Amino acid sequence: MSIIVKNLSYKYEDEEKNAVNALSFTIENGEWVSIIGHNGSGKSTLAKLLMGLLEKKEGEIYIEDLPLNENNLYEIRKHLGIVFQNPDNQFVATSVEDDIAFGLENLEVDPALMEGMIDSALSEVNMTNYKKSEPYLLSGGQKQRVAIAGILAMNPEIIILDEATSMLDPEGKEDFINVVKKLKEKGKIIIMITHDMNEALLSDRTIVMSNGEILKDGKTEEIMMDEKTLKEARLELPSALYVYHSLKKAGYNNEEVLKVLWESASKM
Amino acid sequence: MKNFVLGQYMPGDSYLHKLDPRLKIIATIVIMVAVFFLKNIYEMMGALLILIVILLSARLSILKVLQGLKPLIVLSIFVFVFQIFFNKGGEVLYQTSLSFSISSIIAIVVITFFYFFLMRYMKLKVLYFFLYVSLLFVSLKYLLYPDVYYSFNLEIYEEGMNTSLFVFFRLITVVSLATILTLTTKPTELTLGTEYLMKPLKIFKINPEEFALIISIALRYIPTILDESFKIMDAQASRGADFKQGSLTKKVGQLVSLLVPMFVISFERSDQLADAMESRNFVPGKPKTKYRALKWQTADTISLIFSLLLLGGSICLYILF
Ligand SMILES: Nc1ncnc2c1ncn2[C@@H]1O[C@H](COP(=O)(O)OP(=O)(O)O)[C@@H](O)[C@H]1O
Ligand SMILES: [Mg+2]
Repeated sequence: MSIIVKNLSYKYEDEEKNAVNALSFTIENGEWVSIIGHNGSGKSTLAKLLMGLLEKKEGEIYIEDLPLNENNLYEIRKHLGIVFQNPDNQFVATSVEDDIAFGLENLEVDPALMEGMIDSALSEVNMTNYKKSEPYLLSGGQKQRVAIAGILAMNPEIIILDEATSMLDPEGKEDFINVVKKLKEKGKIIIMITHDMNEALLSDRTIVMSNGEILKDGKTEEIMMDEKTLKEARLELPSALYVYHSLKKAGYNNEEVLKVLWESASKM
Repeated sequence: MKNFVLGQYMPGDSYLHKLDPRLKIIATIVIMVAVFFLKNIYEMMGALLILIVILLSARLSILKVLQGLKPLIVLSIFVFVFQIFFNKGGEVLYQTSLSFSISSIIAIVVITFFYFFLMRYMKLKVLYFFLYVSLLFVSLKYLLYPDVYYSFNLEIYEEGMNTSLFVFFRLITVVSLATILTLTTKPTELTLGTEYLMKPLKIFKINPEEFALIISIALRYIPTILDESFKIMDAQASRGADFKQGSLTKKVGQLVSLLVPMFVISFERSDQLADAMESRNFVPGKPKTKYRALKWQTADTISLIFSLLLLGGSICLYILF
């Protein structure tokens, strides 16, 4: 599975500037990619374009070999799942199991198979005990995990998370991230949009966006070293990495200590 | 807000809980129609008896059902008063003379004042109201000092009494039936049952699936929206707004200050919800499979026959007597 984006642009009606402008990148099987950038840099617009929720104005998107266009949205979306920011605005049904069933019903899955699929998706996100729960009894983090279960049941290869943890408390965040790590191990492509730099540290690769354009695209480790780019993108370094950079600048080169600092930064 | 109950559903595993929602909806309607064929108070008492048997056999708390009847109180009182004063058929059951004098007028004013003053401290409001009415009655009947300005005869006729009792019990029966339905059926099942029953409406281009989806999303978001409105009210109270006091213009202003953010939030929400649904391959009008299938069982057929028998019985009574 792969995603190929070529020269992708989009402009909202009544806006002067392109919200995203001439984006090009390729994401391969099993990659965990962070997309970071300041508010309004076009991250959500990109996510919606990938899902076919916005109709692209210019450029091309391929999911594997399938070009994304109006006629094959249904096919394309079988490969993609997305979790949005607000836990309350994506829970459709009146109970957890019914919510997960919603996607399966849309895919015309045989009802006899649904319960098994729902159970295994719930166990993947550690929500088995909440199968019958009604949404307003769940915490934000639990709702987001149900959202992931809803996607997992449909078994897409690509999972997009658009600031999915930004409304969660620290505990909810941690549980959510643990689920994401498990997905990565299963070989899913993960595109994690975030402005939490600590979260971005978990990924293999990072794309930095600013004003609708890609400022830099590279290994997460390298991006996090690149103070200049981050400053230009108006992003803040995780605090442990400040220490890391300061030590390096001061000519401190003990590999071991630097490694510990790096690792502790990504655990925050 | 954590204890908010969707509808009034009471979890349980009685036979009424287990019946197919389609049957329950149909049977409720059939029995309601049967009730409207009844003509006199004695038949109505019979219906009430059957209702109580249904309630007991389903192990439903009568108290819960009575709670569902609360909104009826005002309506019943109105019917009662109207019938007693204006329906003058049959024999006179009770007759008395009531009079206005200085003492009775003063008593009425004082009693009324205390009634409203003490209202908020009273638990059993209905009993309290009856106490109030009896006190008024006693004052009008016995306080004749010093001069009587105006007297009138209060006469209660047989027909007025019967009709008001009849209408009262009919109201109770019909509303109890609806309450039993919502007490024993989950909102999800109710929606699903309605969807199935609405299928014939496809001829009129009404899509029952979309209808059911709208209902279920509405049910899903009622608690969330209520919760949100409380948060907004709290936020505005912390900035000095008081939703309980103030002049009318102030209250209207505060209502607007609640409604505007609610609308903004709701529009945003519906946008995002639509995106989430579409992402999960929802296409309006496209065929879907169903996770929850309804299963019609023997018990449902038996219950249907039972409710049809009730209807038949009441039609017979209607024709024969
Ligand atoms: N529905 C919309 N209509 C008009 N402009 C929009 C809309 N959504 C986003 N924008 C604009 O597009 C730009 C990118 O927004 P967005 O993709 O939401 O950024 P991000 O997710 O990185 O915060 C912003 O300048 C924003 O104001
Ligand atoms: Mg965004």
